Amino acid sequence: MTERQRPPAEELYTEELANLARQDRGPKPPGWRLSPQAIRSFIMGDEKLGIRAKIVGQSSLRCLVTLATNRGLMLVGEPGTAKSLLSELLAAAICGTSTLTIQGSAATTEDQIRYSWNYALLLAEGPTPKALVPAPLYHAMKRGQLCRFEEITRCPLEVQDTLLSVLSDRVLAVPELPGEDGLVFATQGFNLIATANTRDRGVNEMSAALKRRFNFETVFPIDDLKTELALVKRESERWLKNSGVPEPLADDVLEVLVTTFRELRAGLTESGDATDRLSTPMSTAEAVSVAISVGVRAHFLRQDVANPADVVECLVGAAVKDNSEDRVKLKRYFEQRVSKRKGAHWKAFFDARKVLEK
Amino acid sequence: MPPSLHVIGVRHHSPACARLVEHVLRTERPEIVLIEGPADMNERLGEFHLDHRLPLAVFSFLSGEQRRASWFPLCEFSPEWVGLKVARELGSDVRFFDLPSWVRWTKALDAARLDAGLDGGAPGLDGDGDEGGASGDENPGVERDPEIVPLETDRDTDTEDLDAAPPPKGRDRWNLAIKALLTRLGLEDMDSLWDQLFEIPQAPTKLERTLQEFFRETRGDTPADGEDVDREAFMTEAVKWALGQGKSVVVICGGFHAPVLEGIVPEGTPPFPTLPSPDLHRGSYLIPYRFHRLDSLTGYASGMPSPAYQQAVFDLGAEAAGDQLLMSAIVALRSKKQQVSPADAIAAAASAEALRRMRGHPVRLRRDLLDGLAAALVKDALDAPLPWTYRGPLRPRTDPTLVAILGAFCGDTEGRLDPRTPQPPIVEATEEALRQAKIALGPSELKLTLPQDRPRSQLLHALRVLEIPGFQRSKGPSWATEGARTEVWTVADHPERLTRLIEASIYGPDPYSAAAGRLQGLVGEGTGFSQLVKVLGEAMWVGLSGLADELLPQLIPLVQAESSLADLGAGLKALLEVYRYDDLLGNRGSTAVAEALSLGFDRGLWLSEGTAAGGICGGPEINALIAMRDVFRYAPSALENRDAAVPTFERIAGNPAAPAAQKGGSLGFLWSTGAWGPVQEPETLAAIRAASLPGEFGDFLSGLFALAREELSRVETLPTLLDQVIAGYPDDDFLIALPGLRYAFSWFPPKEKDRFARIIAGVLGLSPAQGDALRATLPADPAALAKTQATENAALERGRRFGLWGEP
Ligand SMILES: Nc1ncnc2c1ncn2[C@@H]1O[C@H](COP(=O)(O)OP(=O)(O)OP(=O)(O)O)[C@@H](O)[C@H]1O
Ligand SMILES: [Mg+2]
Repeated sequence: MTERQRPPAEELYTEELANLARQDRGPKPPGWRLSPQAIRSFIMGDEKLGIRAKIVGQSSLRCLVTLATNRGLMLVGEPGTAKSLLSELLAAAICGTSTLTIQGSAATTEDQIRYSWNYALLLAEGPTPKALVPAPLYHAMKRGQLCRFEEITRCPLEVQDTLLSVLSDRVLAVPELPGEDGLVFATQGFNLIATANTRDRGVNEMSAALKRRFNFETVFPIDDLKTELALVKRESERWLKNSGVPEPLADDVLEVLVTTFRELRAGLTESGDATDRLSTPMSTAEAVSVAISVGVRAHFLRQDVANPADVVECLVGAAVKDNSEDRVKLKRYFEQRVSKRKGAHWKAFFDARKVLEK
Repeated sequence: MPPSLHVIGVRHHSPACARLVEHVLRTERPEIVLIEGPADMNERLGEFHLDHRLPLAVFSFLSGEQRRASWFPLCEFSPEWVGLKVARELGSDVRFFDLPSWVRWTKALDAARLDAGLDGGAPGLDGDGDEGGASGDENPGVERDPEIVPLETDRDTDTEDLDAAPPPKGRDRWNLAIKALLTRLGLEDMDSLWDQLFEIPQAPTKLERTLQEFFRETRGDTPADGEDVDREAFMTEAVKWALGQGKSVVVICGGFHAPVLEGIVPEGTPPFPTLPSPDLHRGSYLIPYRFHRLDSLTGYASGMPSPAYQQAVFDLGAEAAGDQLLMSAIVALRSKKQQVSPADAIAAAASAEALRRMRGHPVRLRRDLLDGLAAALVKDALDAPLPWTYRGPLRPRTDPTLVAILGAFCGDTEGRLDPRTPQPPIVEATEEALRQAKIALGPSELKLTLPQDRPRSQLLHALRVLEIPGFQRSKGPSWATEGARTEVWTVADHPERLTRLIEASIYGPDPYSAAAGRLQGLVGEGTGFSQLVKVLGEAMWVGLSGLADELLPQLIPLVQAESSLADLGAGLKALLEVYRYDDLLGNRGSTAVAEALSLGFDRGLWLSEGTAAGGICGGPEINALIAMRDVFRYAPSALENRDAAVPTFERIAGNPAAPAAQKGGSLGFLWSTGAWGPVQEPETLAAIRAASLPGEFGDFLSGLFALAREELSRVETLPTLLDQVIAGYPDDDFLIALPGLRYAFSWFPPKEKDRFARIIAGVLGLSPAQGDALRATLPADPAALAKTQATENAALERGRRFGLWGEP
């Protein structure tokens, strides 16, 4: 079997999850594989058990509580704050699968959420359970697992509202099927984790009825430089190694990169001066991906280690792209803020600003 | 019976500690009870047992040369209050045994005076109140010295660096120990830790043992540091006195001090430690207090957060308190017209309960309730973290639902004093000051230049700042250093005057320090730069140099965070006044002002660039540019980054995307400051021509004239050029340009408009009489006239096309 580029969490962490299950003494909500305490260790890390933190700087406890109640969990926040990652880890730990996932988009239909039909069979035999093709929600309810609904706010509102009766009555109607088969009752353990991005069409447009059926949890960007720096370092190192780049990014290059992302995200420098906020999302996830492209670029294009100038290049290419307003803001950031910084890496970063003129 | 010593270390306003105190007192029935409260109240402990409604506070103050104040709040669930009540009931000898804060301040002041080689005698007797100064802090409890020092969730503290530093002392060590404990228990903050360890139901003996362990572990064996040195010395003397009486002694003190006091052994029969006597300028009084202040989340934690919740826990127990507070949060939200369905209410309760279980709490604790409410009731993405997860003032854009929830947990209980309670000195002080200043009922005119009127004005301003009704100023300059020097005040009797004056004692013991306290209270979270400058202005009116000294450094972070060019400009303008003219408080040329000006100027450049990248540039922004120009001109030595101005404004002037008014203003800056040398005719004319697009020209000129009207009036050919440009506009364009142009010329005084008109008349070859007509006010609105003309022109044009006036 060829190696997968990114296995789902339950495969990536099979062993960890098995270990946790073995040692788990805590009470488990009905239908859960692990106790909330064990899941918390899995996600937030636990030194004693030799488990590393997968999500940093967030508390997952309220999420776990919500999932154990009869409300869905809605993770909201800026792009790239690890909402999807958190949802995947929660699903993997609670029910052993994170792949019952609906990807929301303008084109999402009810069929992709609940079930559709095998038309050949439907024509041949009429509506029978055999002809029914389950979609993630159907599966999750039947098996008592978690259904993930990514970017839910991108779906048309009527499609979102398909979830109403499922969340409140915990039952899915299949009107085409007669008798018992016409109602799918959720098995213990079923629940829904939705994610929504505050930069997209926000959650405000979601119907009040649906909102009521969710508990909202806001996921914030990592709030201190050190933690974020460590995360970007760890993640980029892992990916660079996978991509055949032997050298990880030097610490000063990472510092320039992460600081710039944080400052342009918050509209505030680390020393507390105001600066522009870019309209392009400058998330941690974005920082990781720019860090990776910085490493890749330096290694394959220049056969060299990455330097601050590569960061400028990638920042323009990957982050700012063709947004001219952001480009202006970025220029101002360089002139007014970067120019005053001390240290060779910041000087080199500043000197590379010509790229912005292109 | 041999003497015995039982020390109960407590946290202020902890219901669990309050219950523990009651339990210990009732079981041990000690002969002496020492309570950590200001010992100058010992003569007057009877006042506590009058018919009050809690919360109250002991208000301690020092006035005179240095003005400071502190509050020692007491509510029904304060261990100290319970101690007072129960000990009295049991007939014990009760005494406060903490060094009053005013004694500490006096001592510090004496030490400073000695250091300065000045007379150290008769402290407090020399402050005759004429030299206003800073009061302590609006923030109650700041001087309270809470035993549980709040822990900033300060993840930047470099633990590695600590190895190199000398071992931390006193409260620093305490903080580190708590931080370590939090990490070990996987908890986020001190409050959660406290609740989980101590506020859960448990047997008193178990609670006391845990408290003892906790305090011993956190305090370690470090000696006191800073002001704790004197306090603990005083407390130790008091405990030795008690033991010397050969009696059973219970001590109720902050947990920080407990490990030290526990170790005291009987030794002779020393007297109770003495204190200097209180007087007009220093002492302690009971005042009414509010839950709101008690819950102040800023600065040092003065005790447990969410007083209404704590009160309910004290009255009803944690279980019932949880139900009650869930309900009152929901009621509070509904009264704010927020939809909270029964299903939501149930979900909140269920979440709180689930959180309790998951966190392993035997009952729902405060954090479980708050988190449960947030999980169930917040239906949107948050812009700021949950307010109970950090210390300090509410962050901007905190969800109103959360604010309301927290408000319900705080409660709005207000204390009331028994009318027999001795009144705080501000009442007498104010009457006395009014008598001395010979301020009588009715109107009076004050000449600020007269030495006898200046203090009168200061007193009246102090009362105005305190919003004491009956003191009204009807005329006078708006800024203390301004040219106009006459004020008119009207003083009238007012039924509310006395009440409000007593209330104002919360800010200080006399009108001046009270005004200072009040003003200080206006400065806090969300204060902008221009607002702070306004407060500074008030301080100057009242003559509070100490407050001014305190405010000036605060300008610095604010000026750097100011995001509105208009507000920045308003602040800079006022600040420049201080820098140039303030002889009242002696801030003329001060370095603090200079620094703020410099940073403000820098900030202005930055914000200007922002405006240039697509902002709006209207009147207020132009005024900001003028303020910056004046700073550039009149405070050159203050500016660190003065050289950056010229390139910045050159860049803006040449930036096609910048708003026209700003481009004009930037050119005006460059010309009026002489940055480009004397104004040169050809350059000027070229620049003006380059900006002559009809949609922009008016704006451009208004910016330009606003800054460089004087310099430009030296350019002889300017009117001619303007005439050429404007006359060259097709009618449609003229209509577009007209409003802006009118505004632009409003910057000129009549005399210069006159000169313009004469030149234009010359160009047009008009007679002097016709020239005068140019300046006459038009008989109708010029825009209407222009419109009429446009209609007429259109008609003429149609006619021409139809050949009505000859050849088509
Ligand atoms: N607090 C965090 N802890 C761990 N990883 C983080 C954190 N914040 C961001 N990341 C990084 O971001 C990546 C997760 O991005 P993810 O796709 O989950 O974000 P998202 O919030 O779902 O974004 P979007 O709104 O764009 O879908 C992780 O793989 C990790 O590299
Ligand atoms: Mg996502």
